[in-house]
Amino acid sequence: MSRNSITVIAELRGKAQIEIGKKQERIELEQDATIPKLLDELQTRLGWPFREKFLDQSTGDLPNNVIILVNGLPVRGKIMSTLLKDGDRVVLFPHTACG
Amino acid sequence: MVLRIDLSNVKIRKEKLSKELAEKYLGGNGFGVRILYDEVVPGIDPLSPSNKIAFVTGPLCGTVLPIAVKFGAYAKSPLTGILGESFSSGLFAEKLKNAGYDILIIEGRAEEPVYIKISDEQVEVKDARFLWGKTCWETEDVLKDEFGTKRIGTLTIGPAGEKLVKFACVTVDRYRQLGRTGIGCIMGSKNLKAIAVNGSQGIEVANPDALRELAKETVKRSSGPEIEHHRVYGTMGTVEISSEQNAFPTRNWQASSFEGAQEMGVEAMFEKTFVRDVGCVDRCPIACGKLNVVKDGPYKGATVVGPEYQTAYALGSNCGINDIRAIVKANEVCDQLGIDTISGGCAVAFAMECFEKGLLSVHEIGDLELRFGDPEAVLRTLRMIASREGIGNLLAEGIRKASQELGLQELAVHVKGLDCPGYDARTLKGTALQYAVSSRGACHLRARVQVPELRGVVDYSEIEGKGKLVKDREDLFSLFDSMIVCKFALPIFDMSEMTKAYKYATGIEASAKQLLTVGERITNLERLFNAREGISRKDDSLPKKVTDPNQERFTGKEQLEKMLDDYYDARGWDRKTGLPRKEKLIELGLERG
Repeated sequence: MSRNSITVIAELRGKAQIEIGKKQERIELEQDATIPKLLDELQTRLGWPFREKFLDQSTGDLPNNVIILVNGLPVRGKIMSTLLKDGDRVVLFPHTACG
Repeated sequence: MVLRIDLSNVKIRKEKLSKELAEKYLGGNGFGVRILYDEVVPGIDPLSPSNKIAFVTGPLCGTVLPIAVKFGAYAKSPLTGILGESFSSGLFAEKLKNAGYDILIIEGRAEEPVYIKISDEQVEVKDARFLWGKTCWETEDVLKDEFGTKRIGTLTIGPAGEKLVKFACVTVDRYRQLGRTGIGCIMGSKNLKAIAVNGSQGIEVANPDALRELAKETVKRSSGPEIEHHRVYGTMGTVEISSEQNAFPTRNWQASSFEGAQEMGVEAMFEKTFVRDVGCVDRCPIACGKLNVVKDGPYKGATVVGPEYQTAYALGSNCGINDIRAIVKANEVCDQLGIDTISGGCAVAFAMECFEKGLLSVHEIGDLELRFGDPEAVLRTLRMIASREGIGNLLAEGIRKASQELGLQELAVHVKGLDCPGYDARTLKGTALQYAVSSRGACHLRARVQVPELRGVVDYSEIEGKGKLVKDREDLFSLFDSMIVCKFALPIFDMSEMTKAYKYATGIEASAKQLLTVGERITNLERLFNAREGISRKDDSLPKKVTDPNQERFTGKEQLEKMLDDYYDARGWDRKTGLPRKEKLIELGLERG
């Protein structure tokens, strides 16, 4: 791990966990990486369409039907301004709240 | 048409549905509240023959629209003493409509146990002594045998309803329930074990071709991404979303997230118990229900359509249970005995905290070891509640009364007597407000504010703007519950579709604004009903477990008071009393100027 890199823990939920067969992945990123960068890394490493599922190409934000939490807080509307830090825990839900 | 049955003297009447009622209140929620307001005398004992139950359908129910299959039940609640209301689905609503009835009103009290059999015009009140003591499922099997078909609508109560457990539910077509506010208890008080209905007359609509096209479009849209979360995961998909955001009450609200959420969440369900998707009716294209069967272990064979999220909270995290198989079993026991899973689970969780803190005497608890995380303790206590045995007799009164008797009110998590649902009101501020003001007591369905809060569409920690948000969403979902359209369909069926559907079904043209005004009218009438029972601002409160500042998360009394002011302002209600102002009532046609 270089001095300018960070490690975040990406936790997978719902279909992502079921179809990939993994609950979490440690990802090394550059300091102050954004959520889209994390999605790219996950997609490359795990071969699952994270970017398509979690990014609305027209708005650049999350689609209505997914949730991403960074350290327990939702990042909707802050997808580009959220800069990841070393040790961050990112939980990816490919679905939303109902019930 | 209104079918009215007085059980005291077995009088059956068929009355024309008034045009004014249909136009001003649409159906469902509107019908239910208006009937209670007009016909239930203030101050009556909810278990007296004077109380009434109105089973209500909506104008879209029974038509080709596959997301309009629900119905409601309204009565003065024995659990809360105010407006009692619950919705369910299944075949009952469309069979009742096909038999020619929009509303079924039950009055009086039978001298001996009876059940009601409706076959189109033929309506009979029949001896049910041979059914008394049977579970909901056993009763339903007998009724289906009598009709000679499984394609009937059935409402049954179990031993809990017979024993007047204040939160007894009504089981609908085996796997669905009129869960909240004790409608099953009122059926029990009327000696009414069951209702079975079959109808074959068909339903006329104003423009069948246009409605059929709209139904086709709705089915098509329901396969898209907007509603995938309901289709694939059902409500269980919310468990971990909620727990991760500290919105999943645990061990009688002693924590806001559950360390066992993954073991009992949606992935565990798919891995361990899931069999297939099940719709409220076969033709529902969303089919958010999940048939779960325990395949191994001590609860092998337990079968339910569920658990839903709220059941996973009440019988799971709130009792410290992290095994999805044990939750399925507890869900099955509740369904068979006729216990609301939310209030049942919350009663057990309350007793567990009392026990673990040494606050229950041997006299109260006997040899029962009530420890969080013990599935056998949950099952045993549920059975004791249904039979009113030992501590079960006290818990059967609901946690408000039980906690008063024990002098332990600070451990009871309810609003106006109704146990809080499984979204943590300490974390989610708008949700706290909706619990405080909901007409039936703590309710997660009337405004569904937890949805934008958990999705991050609005900031859940913010109190600004929540008054208007709750008001607008209450009016919207009052409308949904009057039409009656499944709330989960909102992403694919909004006000544009709603106005079309109403026009195609009834021939009446109404704008979105006009329909939403009906929603507002109904919410105001609900408040008037409750006001007659003594409800005002003082009762729009939150339990101590939510407001206590001596914990990591809380929604303080000052925060609540601010949100209440905003809410009353948005409603046009008086801040001091929390009741509708005269001008508002005149504006909504609830009072003459």
